[in-house]
Amino acid sequence: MSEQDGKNNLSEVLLFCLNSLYGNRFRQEMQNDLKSAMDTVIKTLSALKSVALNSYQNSFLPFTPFRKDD
Amino acid sequence: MSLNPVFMTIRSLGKLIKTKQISPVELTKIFLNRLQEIGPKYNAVVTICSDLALDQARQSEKEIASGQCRGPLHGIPYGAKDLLATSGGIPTTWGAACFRDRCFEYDATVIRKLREAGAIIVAKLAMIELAGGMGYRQPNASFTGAGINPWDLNRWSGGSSSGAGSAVCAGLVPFAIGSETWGSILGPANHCGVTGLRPTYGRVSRFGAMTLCWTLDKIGPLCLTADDCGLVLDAIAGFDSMDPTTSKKTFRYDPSFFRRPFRFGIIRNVADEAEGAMRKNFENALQTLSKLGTIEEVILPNLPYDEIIRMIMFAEISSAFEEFIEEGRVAQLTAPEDRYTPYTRMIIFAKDYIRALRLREVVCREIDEIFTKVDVLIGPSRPTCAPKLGEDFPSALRGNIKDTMGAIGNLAGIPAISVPSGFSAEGLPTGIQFLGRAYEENMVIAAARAYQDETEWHLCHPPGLT
Repeated sequence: MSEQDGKNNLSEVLLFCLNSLYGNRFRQEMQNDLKSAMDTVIKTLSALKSVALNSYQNSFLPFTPFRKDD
Repeated sequence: MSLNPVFMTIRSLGKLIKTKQISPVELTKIFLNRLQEIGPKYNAVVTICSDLALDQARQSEKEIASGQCRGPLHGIPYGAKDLLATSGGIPTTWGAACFRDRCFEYDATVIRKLREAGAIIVAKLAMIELAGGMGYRQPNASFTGAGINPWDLNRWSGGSSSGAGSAVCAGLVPFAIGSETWGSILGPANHCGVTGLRPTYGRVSRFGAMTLCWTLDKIGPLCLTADDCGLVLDAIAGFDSMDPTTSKKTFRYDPSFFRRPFRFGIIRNVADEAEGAMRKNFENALQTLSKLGTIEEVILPNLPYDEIIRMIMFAEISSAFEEFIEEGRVAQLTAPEDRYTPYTRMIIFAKDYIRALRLREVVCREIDEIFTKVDVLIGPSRPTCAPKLGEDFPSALRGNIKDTMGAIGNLAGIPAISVPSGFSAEGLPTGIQFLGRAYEENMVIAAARAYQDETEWHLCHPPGLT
């Protein structure tokens, strides 16, 4: 399977999940918009994955153990 | 009183109040009257706070008469975006019909701080429902109707601080408080031809403000001038134990902050993202700025800036509104697309959100390095002028237009100010933004103030409103 096929597949899988979870809230005419919104998510993921990160590159969200009296 | 206070700056009004040429009660009545008479024309107002405003105005008048001065905002009326909690039975609607009667029993810290500074709240101002986080793509996305632009009644005032932009533009209030996650202060400031300041993340407490994105939301002023923005920020900035994300770094507005020459930077190709009039007026502005400092091109690393902030927004919005979405309450929203688009963000993977946060750190470090070489980055405030009502508009959040400076500025949590830079051939305002290093609001305000000293765009007001 090519990378592009994989992305298309992910889009279809997510759309399937979306309809499985919430399909009873959607009308047929919303499907094109939902697919378009899902495609935006897939393109966004793809762009994020195009940048290499090393495992030491952390986010700005350090965990701090909590003490109420601190 | 023969003076007309409409479209006077806070600084000018403050002097007139201090010298008793204008009384806070008279001033408040003038703006209450404008809000009632003119406000509906622009769908700018949710609630007019007449009783509270007049009580506060009488209190200010007594204090000023007895020689007590609370500072430059004492006796000045203002409006607040309707996502800031207000007590006393004044609803806080978040722009959504399902919250139209919801009241809080406390005030947002910003509201409290402005009261302590002597400012008078005259109105809660209209906004895009839930601050635009549900995926709206056209202006009619608030239960108060589409925000209408005072420069052209067939155009949108921008979002999500729609009422804040149009109210300042139409002279309904001397200043307003808005909020920005990605574009919600600079957008209305650009579209309405007013000055809007987005402070550093954590500079202003978000306690009592609707949460859209915990790591991105900022609160800031929309005013007539950069100087006024400095005066308002001075009153609302500061650490707040009720908001652990507020910074302990203090801010004091310095109106004498001066730098010559400024070192302006332009991100390579950033102006190409803007449409004709936005780009043309930006290029014109460069001629003015070249008198104030040096201008050098800046090359940024090739990173997916828009995509990083989009992913963070999708994930944080879907978490902040998880119950609202799961319970199907989005069906009660005004914009049809807001009733189903949010579901598409409910299946974001945690690892992808965390990747976006890790990339955000790269952006923060890269952009901070840029500010060792330049004082401020400049660019068009938005990619477009005010869109037409009744039509879909391009949106960086939806991915059909790029907004690199907005993405970088909000990702890095750094301050920016938008000031008017001219008009399109259709008579629509355009804006230029000054983006600065974290916690250097005095620098971005000084740059914008210097630009406004050289230009008169900020002195232009829609015809028939003076």
